[in-house]
Amino acid sequence: MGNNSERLYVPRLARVAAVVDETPTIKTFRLAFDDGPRPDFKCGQFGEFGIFGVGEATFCFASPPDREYLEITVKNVGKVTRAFHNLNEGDVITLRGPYGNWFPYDDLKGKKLLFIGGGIGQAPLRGLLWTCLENRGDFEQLDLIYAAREECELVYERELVEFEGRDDLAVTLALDPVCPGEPIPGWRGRTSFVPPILEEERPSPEDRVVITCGPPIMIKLVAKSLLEKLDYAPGQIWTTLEMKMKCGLGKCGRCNIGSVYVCKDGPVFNYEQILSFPKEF
Amino acid sequence: MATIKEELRAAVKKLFDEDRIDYFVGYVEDYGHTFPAILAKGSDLSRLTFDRKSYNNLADFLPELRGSRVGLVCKQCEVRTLNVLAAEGQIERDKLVVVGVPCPAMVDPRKLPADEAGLDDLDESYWQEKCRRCLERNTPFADVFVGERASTPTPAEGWPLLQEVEAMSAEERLAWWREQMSLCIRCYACRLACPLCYCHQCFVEDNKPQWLDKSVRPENNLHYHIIRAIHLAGRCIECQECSRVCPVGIPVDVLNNVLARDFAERFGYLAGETAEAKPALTHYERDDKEDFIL
Amino acid sequence: MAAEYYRLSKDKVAELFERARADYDVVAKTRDANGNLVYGRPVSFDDVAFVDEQPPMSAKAFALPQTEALVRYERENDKIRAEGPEAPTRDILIFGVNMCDATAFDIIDRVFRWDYLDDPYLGRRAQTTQFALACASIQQDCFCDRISYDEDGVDAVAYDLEGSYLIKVQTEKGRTLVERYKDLFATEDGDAESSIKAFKEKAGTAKKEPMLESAKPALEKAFEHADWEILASTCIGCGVCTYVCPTCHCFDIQDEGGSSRGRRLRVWDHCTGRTFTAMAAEQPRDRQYKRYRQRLLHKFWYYPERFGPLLCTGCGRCITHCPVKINIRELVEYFGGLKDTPPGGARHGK
Ligand SMILES: Cc1cc2nc3c(=O)[nH]c(=O)nc-3n(C[C@H](O)[C@H](O)[C@H](O)COP(=O)(O)OP(=O)(O)OC[C@H]3O[C@@H](n4cnc5c(N)ncnc54)[C@H](O)[C@@H]3O)c2cc1C
Ligand code: SF4
Ligand code: SF4
Ligand code: SF4
Ligand code: SF4
Ligand code: FES
Repeated sequence: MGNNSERLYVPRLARVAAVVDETPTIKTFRLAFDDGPRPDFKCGQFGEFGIFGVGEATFCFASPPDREYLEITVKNVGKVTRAFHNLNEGDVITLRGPYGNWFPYDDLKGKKLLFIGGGIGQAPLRGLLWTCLENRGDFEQLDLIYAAREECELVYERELVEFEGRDDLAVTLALDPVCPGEPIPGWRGRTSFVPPILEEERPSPEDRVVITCGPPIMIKLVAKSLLEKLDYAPGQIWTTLEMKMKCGLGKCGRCNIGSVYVCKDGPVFNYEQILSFPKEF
Repeated sequence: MATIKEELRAAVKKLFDEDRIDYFVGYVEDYGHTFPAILAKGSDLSRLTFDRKSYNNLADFLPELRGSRVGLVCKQCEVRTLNVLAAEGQIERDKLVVVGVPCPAMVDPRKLPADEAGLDDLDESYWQEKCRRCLERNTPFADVFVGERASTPTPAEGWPLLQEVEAMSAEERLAWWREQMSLCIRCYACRLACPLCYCHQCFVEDNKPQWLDKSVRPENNLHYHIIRAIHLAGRCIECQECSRVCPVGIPVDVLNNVLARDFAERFGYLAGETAEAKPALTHYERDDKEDFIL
Repeated sequence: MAAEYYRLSKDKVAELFERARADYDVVAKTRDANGNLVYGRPVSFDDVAFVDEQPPMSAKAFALPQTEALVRYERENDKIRAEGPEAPTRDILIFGVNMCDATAFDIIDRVFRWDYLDDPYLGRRAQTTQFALACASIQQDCFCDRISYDEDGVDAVAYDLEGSYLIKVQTEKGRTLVERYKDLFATEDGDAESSIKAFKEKAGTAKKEPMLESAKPALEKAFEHADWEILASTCIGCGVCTYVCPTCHCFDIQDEGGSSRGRRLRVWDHCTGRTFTAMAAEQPRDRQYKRYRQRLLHKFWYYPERFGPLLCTGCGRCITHCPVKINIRELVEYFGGLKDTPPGGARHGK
């Protein structure tokens, strides 16, 4: 059974404690709770965050679950997200959740993990990546490929610099090629889409699990490359899906793919499950 | 003598056989209803019909088929719609094959008798209001005409319901509208069945800014209807589809009729009456009345 | 609880209606200002419409209103207070509700009770008693005879057996109703189930094979059927079929009001609409036929897969009121392999 508060849709209130400008269109909000401890969550879960008078939108918990703070990262794409971008420290937001399932941390232990993030898709991976780093001994190898359209669209830049300096995590940063083959001036990483990087580096499927999140087209192409060119089994790929959501509770009927409710059965899915869905996207 | 159905089926078969069209938009009969269908080559044409329940304004389906060669049954309602759509640059006339028909007048679905055997003989009191006002029963610019030409009708004047509403006192009228608006469920069938509400993104869908709150309350409903009526001023061709499709029976077209009447009285303009007429609101004539401009 | 049977003489119905109004907010079929049938609050017993025809709007709104406040919020000295919805003040009795509407509540319940308990809905639902009147004859677009779901879960059902009503009571709420006005009900001695069976045969509502549940295996293979596009391309994407449907339950959550005072609302929404699943990154249902396909498959494949029964009671409203008369039963039969010919005859031309 889920955690049923008496009033399902009545949110908790949180205060914006800090705002970080990640990119021109993405901000990270650190939230503080004055009415009690912050909600407990697991990596991969999401919440319905809102601003009274504007509405609610779905964001994943973008910070590691063991930190005392809670962070969300929001890309300005529409009505609610635009209002989030206008928030200042001290403003009050609403929160329902956590909802949804999470990454199967215990099943991942002992494996080599390859994280592949694209743009804002790094947000749901961030908490898990930090958790893995903090329990580095649980994993044989950790790799991260992080891609964005442009340099100014890389989120968590300060953390990427820190990651690059670590010797227990291999980091590959990539930007979409504007002109194929031509390097981008001043850019320290690669200029390529993700599939060619995979096909060049050929991370062996042995004992490895890929965890990916990004724009739908990236997820599709990454999976195709792994499955068709690198002999991965669908079961070795995990991703989190984005569908339009409203309730997050399996009621409003908006997030389904076939008989699966992405908000209740997901958002974290194994690629094997995804292949069994009706071809809805 | 071949019936209109047989002639229609043969004509459509010929259009497909001669590869003149990719799709045919017409009416079919099945499971006790007459309804619109989009047919492609290889479809069963034996259900094609044109009868007194051929309600839908088929021009509504043209945006979906843009780019294809389309054959279309055109009764007078579609004729007027095509004239407006052409004047607004919305259709490619050379990609359309117009199948003309003699229109027998449509029977008001709310007056349909339980036994439909005598449907063809029902007199004017059973007709849809628009059919009593119809000026011409035969498609003027048909590429193919099926059936026997109908005689020219004697059109009725005015809209009875509009007259009834306008005869009310201001308070009565407000109460009447409030009542109607309290029934509206904002399903937007009236907008979506309207062949002239073709905006890809309607103001009711915008959310940045959100012009219209989503809560279904009489004030919001009225807001929607008034803006829609204004967007159709001088464009509505009175096919009455908005009223016919309303699941809760609101005579939506009363609002449009007010504006249509004003255009008739002030500018002598009837939307879609001729292929040549320019859209009333974007076109200026020297003798246009200006007395309403403050 | 095991079913109980009673008799209600026809000349007692008016009294039952009047007395019930003391204990319940009584809703029944009546006529609105335009003369159209609605579930409303009749001024007197004479205003109750005893007809088989269903009002265009089903009875679901009494448990799931089209617009309702989920949260009310107010800022007071720099503190925001957020409260849940107001509870309904009176119990509702839906008097003479059609069976296809009455059965729908139990179907929606399964979603709103699934794991998270939807308190605004379930609160209203707990306060609603259905007193159904079984149809004396099936109508043109109805197909409840093709759906297995029967009286399941309906509080009380009345069968018009010339002269008097046979009353079948199936729940505690139904029993409360009868208990309250005991003196009006007589006990039933005869073989009630045989009478009911005969009634349904005569009305045309007795079950007929093949039941539409049997379409599911073929539907599961028909997602990419080439004819979806042409057969559903006349769909204009309005909210009619979903809003008139007694079992559709999708909604949007929208705030109305300012930042310091307002309401967070639940408003019905519909999967056939263009913006239902529109996202910044993509629109998975980018064509109208895909949106219609969602509606049909949700009802006859996805929902049954999760919750058991079909998400449809066969009321036929979505056919009757559809502006283009798309026929869900015909399409289920066609894509579900129960019928070879497509409705209206349209086939893809490729
Ligand atoms: C599980 C999950 C986790 C997520 N995590 C994050 C996260 O961590 N960070 C993040 O930034 N995002 C995340 N998202 C995405 C986020 O939920 C959406 O971007 C957000 O809900 C958009 O809300 P909005 O009101 O700002 O946008 P909307 O105003 O709803 O618009 C979003 C887009 O939808 C389309 N659209 C919506 N409504 C209409 C309309 N009426 N007419 C036309 N087009 C319309 C437009 O194309 C628009 O670009 C997540 C989504 C899911 C499902
Ligand atoms: S069709 Fe009727 S109910 Fe629907 S939005 Fe129009 S007026 Fe309202
Ligand atoms: S099926 Fe009919 S009622 Fe439903 S959305 Fe399409 S046109 Fe509207
Ligand atoms: S899907 Fe259609 S027939 Fe089935 S319950 Fe809904 S409205 Fe009635
Ligand atoms: S058919 Fe559509 S509107 Fe109805 S319950 Fe299913 S998803 Fe919701
Ligand atoms: S988000 Fe409402 S059902 Fe999934």
